Amino acid sequence: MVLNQADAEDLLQDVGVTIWEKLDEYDSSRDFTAWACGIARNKVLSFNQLASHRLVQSSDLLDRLHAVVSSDVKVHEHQHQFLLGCISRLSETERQLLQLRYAQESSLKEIARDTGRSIHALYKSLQRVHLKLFECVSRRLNRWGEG
Amino acid sequence: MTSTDKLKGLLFLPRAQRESPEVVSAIRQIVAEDPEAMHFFVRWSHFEASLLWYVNEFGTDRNVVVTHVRKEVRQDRLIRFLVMAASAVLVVMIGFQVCIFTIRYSVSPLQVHPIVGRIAEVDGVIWPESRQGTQTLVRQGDRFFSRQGRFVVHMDSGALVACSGPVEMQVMNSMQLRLHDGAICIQVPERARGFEVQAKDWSIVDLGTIFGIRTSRNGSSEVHVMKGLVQARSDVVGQQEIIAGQGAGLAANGQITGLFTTDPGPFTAQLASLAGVAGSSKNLVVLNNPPRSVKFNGHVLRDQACLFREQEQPLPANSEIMIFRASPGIYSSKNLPERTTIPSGTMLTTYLLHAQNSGSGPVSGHVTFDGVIAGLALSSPDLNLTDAHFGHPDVLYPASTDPHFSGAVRGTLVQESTDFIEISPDLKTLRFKLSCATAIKAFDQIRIFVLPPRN
Repeated sequence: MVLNQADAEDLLQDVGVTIWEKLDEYDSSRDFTAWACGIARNKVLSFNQLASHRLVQSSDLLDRLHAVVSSDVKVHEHQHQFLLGCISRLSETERQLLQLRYAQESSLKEIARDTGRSIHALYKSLQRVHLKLFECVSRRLNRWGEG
Repeated sequence: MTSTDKLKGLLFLPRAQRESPEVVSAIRQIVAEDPEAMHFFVRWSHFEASLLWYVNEFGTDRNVVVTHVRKEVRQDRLIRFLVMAASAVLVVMIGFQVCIFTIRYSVSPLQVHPIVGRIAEVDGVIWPESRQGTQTLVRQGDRFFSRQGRFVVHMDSGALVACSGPVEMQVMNSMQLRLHDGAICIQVPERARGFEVQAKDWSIVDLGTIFGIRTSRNGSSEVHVMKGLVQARSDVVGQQEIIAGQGAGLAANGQITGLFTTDPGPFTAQLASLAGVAGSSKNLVVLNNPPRSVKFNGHVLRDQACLFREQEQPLPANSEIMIFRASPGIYSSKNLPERTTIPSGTMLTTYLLHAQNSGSGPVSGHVTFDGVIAGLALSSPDLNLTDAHFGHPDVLYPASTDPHFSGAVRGTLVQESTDFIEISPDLKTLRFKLSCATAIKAFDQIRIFVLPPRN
């Protein structure tokens, strides 16, 4: 729903706080997940509408995305499991590159500077690792789907 | 490129770029418009979230990454160096080859396309390709295509190829040509024995001769042997010898359709070309083969004269001859041409014009040569004196000792008041009117001395 990791963490925290605050208003006869998702939906929408650079600006798009997410829950669960297997097949260097990409982007810039390689070239290397992983996961998902 | 591919490209951008308003807006638009891209986006988001989950559990070893990147940099530099080195080597090799080719071509162009002959006696030819119009040298592989007119190819081997009318042919080398269409006549001296003409699936090999061959585009050919012998070869019939006076029909499938008597008719112009005659009037017969005799009653025609080529050779040393000079003008017994001396060493071709008419009136006509007329032997003494050196070795000439020749006047103009001749301004055409009626033996002869054509 958002493209920025920090935004996602802020949102998650905000949704948790709101659920805690409104827990008294929760009707125990209703589905808790649906109630909580409704709160999260409103939070995402109001959060994204605050700035034009945020991804989801309309409730229509949010609902459609939510529908897709809901329909593919099983797929995403398996994808999560398969990913671990695929990561284990990466070399240590490839795993380190991924780590730098997601955890320490500043280090990636430093490495580019230290090695005399452009940041663009480093991202190309990362792109290759991403594709390798994504294709590995896709193959395993296809086999699972056929089975 | 599909929307999903575009989306993939955007999602792979560095984080700072990916979160810029422009990229976010582009991602939003793609996801909103294409359901498939939306599915991919959701899958990718989960994939990336899962990846983030896992990679945070790995320890970071900066040295491993630095080592890896340095290794990649070295590999990249090595690949770049190898590509540049290979390109440089390639450029040097190509340049070297070009230099070698240029040097070879400039130093020895004959090795590329050797000259195998020359074109001469070109008269009224229309070349569809303008290049041929100015071409006098014939190189190996040259293809000739003329719509009309005549020309003679003098092969270096000594063979003469006379072409007239529409002709398409290719010179393979000095001893071989391929006829695609039209009629040609070939005169082959002894030194070019084995000269070959290919026509469709046939190969005509000369064994010392004069022969004509005509080919049509449908594949059929005819060969007519005027003199000597040829061998027609095909894969189907093997070898078939065709002798002088014989002709053969050659089918496209390699079969002989028939043997018949030679018909020189279709080759009249080509045969005249081989004799060095550019043209003649209808009542002058240009003979392919000389008559056996030009004595009185040796070769009699009705209302016609005949002309044949006698010799082509230089005047021997210390043997100048005095004959009548060929100057433009009209001449008769009262207006004889001037006398002139032809110096020794002069290359001359001689022709004998002979008229013994069995008809009632005089014989008139004209002949045009490829070369310039240098002089004429018009009187009986001049003719008798030049017979030995310029006469054809196979022909019997009148002689003063011949009992049939007694009292006869062999020449013209001199002592014959009703004859006259005319020489054209370019000195190539001789017009004549011969009464053939003087004295007891009524026949007239002129020996014509012609210089070689300039081209």
